[in-house]
Amino acid sequence: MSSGSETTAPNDPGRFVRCRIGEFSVALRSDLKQVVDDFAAIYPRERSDTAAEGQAIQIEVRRSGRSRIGRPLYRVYADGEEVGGWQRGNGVFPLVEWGINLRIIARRSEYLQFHAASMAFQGNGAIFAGDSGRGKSTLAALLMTRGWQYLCDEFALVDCSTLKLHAFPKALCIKAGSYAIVRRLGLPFARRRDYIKQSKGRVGYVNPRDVGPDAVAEPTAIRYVMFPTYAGGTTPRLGPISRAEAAIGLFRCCFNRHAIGDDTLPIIQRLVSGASCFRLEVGEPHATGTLLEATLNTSPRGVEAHAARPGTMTTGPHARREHTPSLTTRREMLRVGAKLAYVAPSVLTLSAHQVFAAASDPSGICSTAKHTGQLCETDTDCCSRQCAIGICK
Amino acid sequence: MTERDRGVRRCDAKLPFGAPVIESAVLDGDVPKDVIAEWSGADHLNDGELPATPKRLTGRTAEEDARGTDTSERCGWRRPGASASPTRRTDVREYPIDDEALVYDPQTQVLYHLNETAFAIWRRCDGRRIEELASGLTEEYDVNPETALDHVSTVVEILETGGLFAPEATNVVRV
Repeated sequence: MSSGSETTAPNDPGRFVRCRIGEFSVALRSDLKQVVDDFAAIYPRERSDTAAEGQAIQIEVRRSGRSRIGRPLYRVYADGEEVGGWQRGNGVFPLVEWGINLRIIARRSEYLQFHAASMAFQGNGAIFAGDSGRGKSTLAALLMTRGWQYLCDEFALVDCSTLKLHAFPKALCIKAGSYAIVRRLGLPFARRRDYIKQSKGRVGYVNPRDVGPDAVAEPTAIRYVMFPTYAGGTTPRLGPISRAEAAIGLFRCCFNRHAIGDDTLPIIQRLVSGASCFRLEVGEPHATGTLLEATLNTSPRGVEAHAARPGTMTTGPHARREHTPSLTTRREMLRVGAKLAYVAPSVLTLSAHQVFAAASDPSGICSTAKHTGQLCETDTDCCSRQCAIGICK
Repeated sequence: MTERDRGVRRCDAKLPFGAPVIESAVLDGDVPKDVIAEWSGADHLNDGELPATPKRLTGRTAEEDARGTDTSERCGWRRPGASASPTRRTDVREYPIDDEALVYDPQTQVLYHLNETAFAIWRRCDGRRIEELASGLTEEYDVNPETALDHVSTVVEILETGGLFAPEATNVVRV
């Protein structure tokens, strides 16, 4: 696994640091001192010399040759497994971060884990699920400045038995494109340094505990499941989606469904059954926060009513659901011979290879035709690949 | 008159069977059958103009259609591959959520999201004929029989293509 030229100085004070981030212990050894310094600077309150070494996630950064112009290159290992390598100095820290994430995914099967930001609002847990580039971290940063409590910007860790959302209060990873927003929000970057993340380009880090002592939430029940998108508009839009749609979206974003196995879908089924589910188009930061809080302050019934207000979705797949009668009402209608409003059938599929596919929709399906069974307005490739009803060109 | 004016939107997608069909008709219950038949010529769909000679999906003559005893066959818009009496496979897992459901096929590892109507159709797939499924739908929902039959046929075909029905129940209608 390691080349002959790689060296590591175990527990050299300048090249070793141990932290406890929430309930997760991390031991970092590095041939690159800058990484240890940065880790210690980003997590100053989390440093812990008492964390049990055996249980800690072991991260190692090993020097591994030089580039053609003579710069040193590094490889990163998490619990002995290579995460990525041949990185120059400013590309190493994001790999360390990702190595920690990967080990949490691999180790912590007591949690059903989703690719999502997780926050708590007035004691109610909210999952903002979606692929990279959906603005999850920026949204989490925004909401923190409005009094929401932070759980994580990359994971929703759902306890499989209690269905509570647990915190992994890692530093928020902010892309360069959102630096200005984060600075306007008054959040301090932990280091005045740019790091290079392979998938995102330049990134910086914000420690949630820099926002306030109570910025991190305790385990909390999940009340809201949302699928954010960022379309570049200024007006935020929030629309309810069905719980089944949310469930398929969560399944698609699930990191460790293979570890959980057959229990994955029943857990997701239980999870969404107690939640209100939405699609969120993120707009101007404070308008987005205001819209979210106004909506979530209402009851589930009020959420539907709220959808008719300006700034929320009033047309499309969700408009019809506002008039969907409750189950009791439906049974009563059928009993007296009345007929239910008809909605064209829709069948969506999600195959194994589509999980984590970079689709433009939270449920991994075409975002234009689908849920209502309406025809696609555009002949996008997305539709032809994924719209199971087969109507799109 | 454009296709949109007539209530049919452009769509010349092909199902696995290769026959050009008007899938849009499935989703637009108010489209009269003659329009569906007219628009079955996929090569005419590009310019938005109606073809001069209507084509039929079944390949039958109008007389043959008229003699048929099966309503859907007579109408000429039964999906060529839809099973006549679909029966759900017993090992397929079903997770109802409100009025909708997720259906997971452990063999293919494909997850299906069925909306309320598709789930209502799926629930009834216990060996009943498609016409019975459609009839059940019209009893519960405010939908006309032709639309219901068309929708049921399409949903059954999609699910059958996914392999969700027991093979012994498959009874492909030859048209």
